[in-house]
Amino acid sequence: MVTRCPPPTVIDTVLLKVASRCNLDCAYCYVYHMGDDGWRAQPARMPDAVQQAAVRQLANVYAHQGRPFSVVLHGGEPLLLGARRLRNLCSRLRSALPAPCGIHLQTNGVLLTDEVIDVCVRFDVGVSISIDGPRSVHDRFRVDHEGGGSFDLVRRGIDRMTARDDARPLFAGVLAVIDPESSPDAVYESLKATGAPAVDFLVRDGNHARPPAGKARAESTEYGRWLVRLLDMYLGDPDPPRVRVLDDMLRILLGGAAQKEGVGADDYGILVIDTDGRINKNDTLKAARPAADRFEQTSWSVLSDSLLDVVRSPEYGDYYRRQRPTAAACRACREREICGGGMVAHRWSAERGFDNPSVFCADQLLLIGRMREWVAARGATRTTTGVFDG
Amino acid sequence: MADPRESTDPRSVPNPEDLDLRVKSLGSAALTRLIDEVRNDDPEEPFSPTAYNRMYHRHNR
Repeated sequence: MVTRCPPPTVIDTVLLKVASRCNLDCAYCYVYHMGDDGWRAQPARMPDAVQQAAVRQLANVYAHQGRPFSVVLHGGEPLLLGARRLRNLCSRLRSALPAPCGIHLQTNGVLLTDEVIDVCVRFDVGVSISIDGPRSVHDRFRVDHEGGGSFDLVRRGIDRMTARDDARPLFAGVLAVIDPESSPDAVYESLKATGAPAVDFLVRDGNHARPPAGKARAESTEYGRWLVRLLDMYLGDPDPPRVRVLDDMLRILLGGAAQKEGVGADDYGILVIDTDGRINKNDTLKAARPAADRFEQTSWSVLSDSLLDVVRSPEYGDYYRRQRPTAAACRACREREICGGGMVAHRWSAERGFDNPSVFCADQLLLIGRMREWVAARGATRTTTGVFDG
Repeated sequence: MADPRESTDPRSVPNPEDLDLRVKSLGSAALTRLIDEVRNDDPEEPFSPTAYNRMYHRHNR
């Protein structure tokens, strides 16, 4: 198998935290409800001076590494930036990062107006929308600050994307957080019915110190069983959308490569530019412990430091290498190539830091086992020259 | 117990569940799509961050 792991000084994805607040208050959010309150010290919106500095830095990265990368407008809820500011930012970003660099918007969809979609169309900005399934599943956790469900508003945003011929090619897909008490069949069918070209699924964040909701203990397989049923639905569907997390794992099983972090043996260069300009590690690390996404020894900012210097620093190298699982059980596991040890944040324990298998290890093994059954039943095997399809 | 799919004994009877999965997997549109994609991957090409569905990035949130 060809190793596609890039050298550690290559950036793949930069998150711009253009808004530090959110108009929703989802109960499971790793930004607001996992113990990290760094958002409280941030400006509500990314100041213009920070935006300009970030764009300059990103242009510099592209000029030096030559290799395209993606920028994700993220939050909080990035559309709290407002349509006018969004237009200005996207104009600057697209001038600095022409195609094939990707510019993306990860939104809850509530504020996705036609004016915002016009901006996305003009500057070739991909859109991914968070929705957890049918109303009964979605509104259980994805609520506003008064506890009201957001399903209707989110569906309205999705329908706006799918209704426009010029916007449809920009619609990357929908992103759902799994409620293991929900029906995988109902969730799959409802997400497919949105017309999204792709669906991605996340587990509820957790770790060995703070077990994920719906998971009784590390050895139990509530999420694994849910995902196995999802897999069976997906692979049995005569007209399937893309299901990113399953595709990534199956591609590795077949001899290909994954596309996103959290599975597989490839490492990814991911950095976050916070709303005040501070440069941080992957924000999902907040789900491990408060401030785990901060560089410990140095406080960098796009206002005063070079992103290239950050990427070339020993601290960045340490952070980058941490993607690889270090636990003895992982290093000895034959499935490590498929699961990659899972998300780093999900390995955390107070006693051993990140030196543990993922808290979802049993779930992953169950899912991978079922994937192997499907692939074996097909007679598909990896060969040195590709994949043989039986 | 040996996998009946791998048996060379002509008297062996495949498990109906295995046969059912065999039929389903051969007709799986998603698996066919993935196998075609993996076959057509060019390992010499630099990995493109926009190759998958054009819009995907690497961060999984």
